[in-house]
Amino acid sequence: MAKQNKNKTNESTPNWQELYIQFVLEHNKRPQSAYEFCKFSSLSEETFYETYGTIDALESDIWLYFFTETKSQIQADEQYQAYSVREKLLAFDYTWLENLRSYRSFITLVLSSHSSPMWQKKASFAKFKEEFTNYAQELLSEAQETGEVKNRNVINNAYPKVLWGQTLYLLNFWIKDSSSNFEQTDAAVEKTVNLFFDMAGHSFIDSFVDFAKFSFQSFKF
Amino acid sequence: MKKDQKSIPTSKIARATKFIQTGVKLGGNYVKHYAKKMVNPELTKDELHEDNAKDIYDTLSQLKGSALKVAQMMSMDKNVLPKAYTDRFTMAQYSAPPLSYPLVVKTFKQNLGKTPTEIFDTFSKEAINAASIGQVHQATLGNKKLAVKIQYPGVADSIKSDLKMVKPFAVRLLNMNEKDLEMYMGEVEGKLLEEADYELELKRSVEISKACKHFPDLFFAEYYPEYSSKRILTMDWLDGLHLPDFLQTNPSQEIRNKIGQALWDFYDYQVHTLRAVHADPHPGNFLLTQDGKIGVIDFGCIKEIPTDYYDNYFIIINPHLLTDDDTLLKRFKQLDFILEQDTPEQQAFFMNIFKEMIRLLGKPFHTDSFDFGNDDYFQEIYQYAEKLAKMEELRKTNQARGSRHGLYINRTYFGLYSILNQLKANIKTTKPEFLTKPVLENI
Repeated sequence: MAKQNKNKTNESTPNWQELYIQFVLEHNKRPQSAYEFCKFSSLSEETFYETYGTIDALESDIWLYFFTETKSQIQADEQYQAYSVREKLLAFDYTWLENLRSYRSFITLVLSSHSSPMWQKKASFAKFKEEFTNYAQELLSEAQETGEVKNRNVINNAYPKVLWGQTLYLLNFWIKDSSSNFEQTDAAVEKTVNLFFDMAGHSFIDSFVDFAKFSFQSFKF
Repeated sequence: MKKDQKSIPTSKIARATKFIQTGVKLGGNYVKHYAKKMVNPELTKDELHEDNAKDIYDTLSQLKGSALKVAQMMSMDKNVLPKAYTDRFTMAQYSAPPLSYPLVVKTFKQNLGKTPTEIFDTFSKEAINAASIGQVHQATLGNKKLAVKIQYPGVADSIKSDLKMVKPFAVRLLNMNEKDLEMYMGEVEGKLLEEADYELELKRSVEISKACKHFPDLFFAEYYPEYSSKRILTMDWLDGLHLPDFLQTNPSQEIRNKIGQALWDFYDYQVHTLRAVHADPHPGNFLLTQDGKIGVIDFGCIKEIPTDYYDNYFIIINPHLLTDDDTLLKRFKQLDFILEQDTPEQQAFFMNIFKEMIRLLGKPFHTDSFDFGNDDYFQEIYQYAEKLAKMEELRKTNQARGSRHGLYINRTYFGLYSILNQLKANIKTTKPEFLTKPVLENI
């Protein structure tokens, strides 16, 4: 997708993602309908529906692309396997944000044209969210083995959601970041990841819960 | 090391909360004061000031970073804090939370286009130690051992916000009017921002180490511009011990004198010949070896001394001036120690204070050699500072006295004296001729 050439021939399937980014950048907005988008691309709506049912579905693929690209990039790095889980997550966040950088204008436009403040919940994140959650689950299982994250039974299920929330927080932070080289976002990455692992690892909370349980069970309070 | 650093509140919110806590405490001190006053109407505000100073100090010492640096320097300059405080202030250093390895990799990619392991043969994943505003990793390339300093992101922004936060407290603590404070703050901010620029540091390090090559007992690192950028600084790894560790090895008096002498001569040369001085002589910036040599690192903070300031400032150390009140008064006025609007009483009062200060602080300059191991001398300085801190008149004036250039010059000498004291070095105090011969010219 990184290549900027338009693919208008009918010989192969058109590069919809590429065209879509082009459209948004040139019109400063998301297309209102598949018709508007297809007219710009000089393609028939018919062909569009062969691949996607809605504009959101197309956008969803773009977010997924950013994710899979990032994941394969970091996993190709020899050092990655030797990282602690904390470092793996950091590497993911840095690489992902670095990849988004070349599409910053597009991303800002797309996200700002969602009128609802809860743009996080939009359909366009669906596939990305699913894949990310799987990845987070992998990381978390590994972290439980290495002891970086403590097994807290029911609460475990919430961790992938917390990490998804962290990812969206970073995205939001990065969009609003005006510092040079987005240095503030770097700091935000460090701090949120550290916060998560410091809380999910063994902490005073465990001792507290343990004590409360003990106290309750022995009726000594 | 990691553990220590974790206890420092680093986010802006955490810092702000610290200040709020102090605010609450100060409020409490006032309540305490007025409650006591109802019982005892004689009570003055002195005790209140003491309480406040203590709480403010406690807060600042937890903050570290630039906020503390400001407080540290201002207090040294105005002698507002008692000895116990200044003691602890001089020990204070910057400390930043450690960067994760992925961020180090990212910083490398962003600044140099390659990962650390692509550039160097080996690269330590963990930081070896914390530098002023970043951290140091060890690397090797061929047969060379290197130190790679990496800056924490967003340092420049945090300097500005730190200074903004410390301002209201500085006004209170130093009893200085805001306009004067602004002047000093500007000087400090400028210097701190310079410290955050590694490209500038590299340039200056190369310049100064070249200019000081002829000192046999000093050694400097070689710097590698091809592996450096705004946020990364690569230099030779210097071997040696920091002052406290070095003193543990019980070096002989001869070696201690040799090191002290080299240090004094290094500063003498910088101040009087280069007119630009390594203005951060805290023990962490020197590496000492068993055979009496000093490695100098960290040229982040260089104070360039303007000529007109130089001409007025250093001449006042001349002991002959201590008996020549007229000339001294003129110099004091030029240096803004004594202001035009001062009443004759104020003039006499400050004249006395500054004369005493010069007599005391200039002592090493007044003789050919000086024993910095003499603790009585340092005790005398502290006692004098404490006496000043208790002076009503001094506390009440809210005029800043002294040029802003003095901030860093004083700090430099303060640091130098304190290192020499710890070394217990007895040295020849090399100095330019004009500091000792009778002052003839009439200005």
